[in-house]
Amino acid sequence: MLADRMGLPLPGGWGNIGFLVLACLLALGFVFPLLLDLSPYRMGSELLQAPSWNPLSAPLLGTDDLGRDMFARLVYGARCSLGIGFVVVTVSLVVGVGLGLLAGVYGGWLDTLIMRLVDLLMCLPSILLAIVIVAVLGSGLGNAIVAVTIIGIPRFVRVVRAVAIQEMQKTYVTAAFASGSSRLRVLCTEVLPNCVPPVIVQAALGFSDAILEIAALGFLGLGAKPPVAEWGAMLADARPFIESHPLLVVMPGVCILLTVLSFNLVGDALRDRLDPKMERQ
Amino acid sequence: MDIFRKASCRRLLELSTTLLGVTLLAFFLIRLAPGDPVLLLIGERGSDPAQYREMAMRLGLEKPLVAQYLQFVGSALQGDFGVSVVSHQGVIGELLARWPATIELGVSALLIACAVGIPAGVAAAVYRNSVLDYLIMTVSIFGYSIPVFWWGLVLILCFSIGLDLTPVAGRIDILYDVPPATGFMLVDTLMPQVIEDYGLSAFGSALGHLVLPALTMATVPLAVFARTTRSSMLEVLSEDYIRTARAKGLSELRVVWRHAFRNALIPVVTVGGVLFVTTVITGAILTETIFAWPGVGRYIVNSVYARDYPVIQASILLIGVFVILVNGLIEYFYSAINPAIGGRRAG
Amino acid sequence: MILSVEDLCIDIAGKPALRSLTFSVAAGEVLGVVGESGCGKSMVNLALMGLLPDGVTASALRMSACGVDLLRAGSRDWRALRGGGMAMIFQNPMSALNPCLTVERQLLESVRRARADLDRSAARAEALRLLDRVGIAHAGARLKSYPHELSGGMAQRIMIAMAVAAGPQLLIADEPTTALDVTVQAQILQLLEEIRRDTGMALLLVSHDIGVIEQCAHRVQVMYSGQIVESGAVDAVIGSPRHPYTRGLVAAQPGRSGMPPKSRLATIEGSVIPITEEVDGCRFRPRCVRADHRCLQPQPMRQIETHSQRGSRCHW
Repeated sequence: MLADRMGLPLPGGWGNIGFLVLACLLALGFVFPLLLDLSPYRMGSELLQAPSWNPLSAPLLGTDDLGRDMFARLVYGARCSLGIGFVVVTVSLVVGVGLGLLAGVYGGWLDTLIMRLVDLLMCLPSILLAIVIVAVLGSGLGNAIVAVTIIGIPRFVRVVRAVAIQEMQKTYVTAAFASGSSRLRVLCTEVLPNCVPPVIVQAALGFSDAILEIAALGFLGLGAKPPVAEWGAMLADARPFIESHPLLVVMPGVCILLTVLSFNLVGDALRDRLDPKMERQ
Repeated sequence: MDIFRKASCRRLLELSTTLLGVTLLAFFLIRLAPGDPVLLLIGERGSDPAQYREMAMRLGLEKPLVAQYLQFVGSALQGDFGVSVVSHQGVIGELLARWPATIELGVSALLIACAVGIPAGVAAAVYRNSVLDYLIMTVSIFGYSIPVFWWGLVLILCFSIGLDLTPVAGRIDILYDVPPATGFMLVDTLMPQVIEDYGLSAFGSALGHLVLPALTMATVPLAVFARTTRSSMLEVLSEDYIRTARAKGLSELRVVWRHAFRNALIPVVTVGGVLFVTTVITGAILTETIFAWPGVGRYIVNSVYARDYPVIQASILLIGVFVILVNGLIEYFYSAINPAIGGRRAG
Repeated sequence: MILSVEDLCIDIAGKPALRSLTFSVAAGEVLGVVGESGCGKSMVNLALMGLLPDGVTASALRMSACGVDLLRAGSRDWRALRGGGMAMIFQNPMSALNPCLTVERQLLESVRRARADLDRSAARAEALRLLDRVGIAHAGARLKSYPHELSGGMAQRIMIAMAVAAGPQLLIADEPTTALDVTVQAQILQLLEEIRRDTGMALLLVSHDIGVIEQCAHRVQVMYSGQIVESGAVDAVIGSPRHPYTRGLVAAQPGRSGMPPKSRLATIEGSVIPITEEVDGCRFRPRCVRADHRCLQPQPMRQIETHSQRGSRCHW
């Protein structure tokens, strides 16, 4: 939501760097586990081992307090975050675009109802809302995903509704109605294609928010539960060792930061490319 | 002006429907949660039948939903949100007691964010495409993407553990006995009696405890301020009236601050309002947990752990009202800062 | 000469846009500049004020105004010149005034820059006098107004008041009446002429409307696609235009004497070449009805009559 107001023409290369990092993370999360014998759960005998420069003799990034391979856990964490992000964004995109089209194209009481619901969701800070939803449903990764998905919906509703309302006033839409097209037809042929650019941008930014929120819930102990290899939960697990083994705390956070940063860079770059006017809304 | 009044009436109506929505959300919260609402509200342990009956009466579960809702709103309006399952104290008192700590932290964070972020954004816009601009924007996109809960730990790692400069948790050292007067530690430690006892060292301790959490909380809004200010300044600097100001022979400093900055501030204020809310609440929930800061955010999280539903219910309601009030105030301020509102849009 | 420019070239993003402009303005004189939009008139004005946007650079053999060498002027000299000897008013007065500041604050800014010795009340009195001078009724009340409460004509009057606050020797008016209603246009032009007569300042009047130029200017120069194509005394240039483009401009004016009423209005076919585009020979050739092989050669400015400053960039 906040991101709507900010355009940031960084030098062109930044978006590409974002894409590159994302590609690396995808490879890390989904290809590495196939190639290497990695297990995020297997407990070794060496606890809290320091990182080693020789990955053949010892775990590359050391082990955590239960002797589990940190590298393997981070890799599975990437898979976890990206996978959850994908599910969250897909579902909230479909629901949000649907609601936005209904509100923008049909208007009237339906519009009022949908927009008041959106207002309600946006009025409470997202993390509070997520906590409340988790409080109702009970904590756990599944419920955390549901919560973050619900929070992700308004951003799509808003951009799609704005585009739909704008398009409905255009002369060619009036002309389409005049020539006997149904609302549904106009919706599919005229309105929907125009929603694509802003929705793509919002999807990228939604990804970064979703990953951040899932990690925050995991950190608070309301999302992923141990032993699941999820970056936020790993961070919480490592907190007691912050003085003796700071790397255990630093590494998962760096992973979250890099992922979120990449999605934001990609989102900014896409916005500049697809929709230069959006920042002025 | 009539159009303006109509628009503000409409906005007022929208805000009040949102308020209605918040009350509905709080109302349905315990009725949607799995389990017996009465048990949820009195806690499962140590519930004697008399207590159960009393709560069931209070909720009026046998009455129609509308009546239940009206009863809920009625008691909420009187400040009655029930009793905490954990502490058996009135919820409203518990929340209000923690409110100053959260506000103190949130306001400090926002002040830091404004004081650094806005000038940085102005500098980036004035020297656009320079090394300085790229530097500020790179730092700010990092700041914008940072996971707050991790950042707090990193700051602890650097300043508390590494350099041993700042304390790790709490609002003040336990050796100081500061009687709560306002609830704001920075104010309380400056009360004459405290100064008499400890001199300024209590204030120093409170300030030291505040620095890291405030910095943690300030990071994200700082980045947002810098980015918003920059894009808003860039837009304003390309306006005709800036050219006029330069054509008058005004100094660049005057052009930037007097003619551009004020106009560029309008969107920044809007964003600032939204940020104030998210900073105070979102920031509070995560930052207070990390720094064991005894504020509302940590209280809410602990209540969720303890399934203390009366507290959760009251928190949503109070925070919702707080957010709506702040938004209303921002809109009022917006029309005050922008004389052309309702007429031609400025900036 | 209040203003004298020799061989001024302006590049936009490294590409030449305005080519070799040479002109001058004497004290008390009105020089009209006419040409269609996109021919670079406004760029020249901004260059003279030192207000070119980023990526646009100017170079010249000689460029001086009010006795200051503009080629050597530092930012301090520029500022002194802008608030003193030179002033400028713009095309759209509504957007040229800061929407967030009252008329009073914007006008006082100019007054104080011109006369730092005035105290608050004296400066305010001076502002009132200026508003009165530019024909604004209820000046005291208007001082409290915000720009969005003004009409276009009133806003332009206030711009003029701000511009003449320092008693400039040269006022650059960049399409001052284009954004205004026709009836207001005449009043604004009249006002400019009055102020010029009273103060003896020179006026550089830029317009796309040759009628406006004819009405106000002493001399005129016609610009086409980044070049001056014809210059001379107004009566001579408009009475007997030499360059085909000037001819077209004059003929395209509705209601010119000598044309039967209700006859078809003449137009110039085609559109102006973008100023950054390179062309062999005469830049008007693609649209010129008389073009021949000689037009493929670059056309220098030719003196037409030896006793006057009349010139045309055409071999005919």
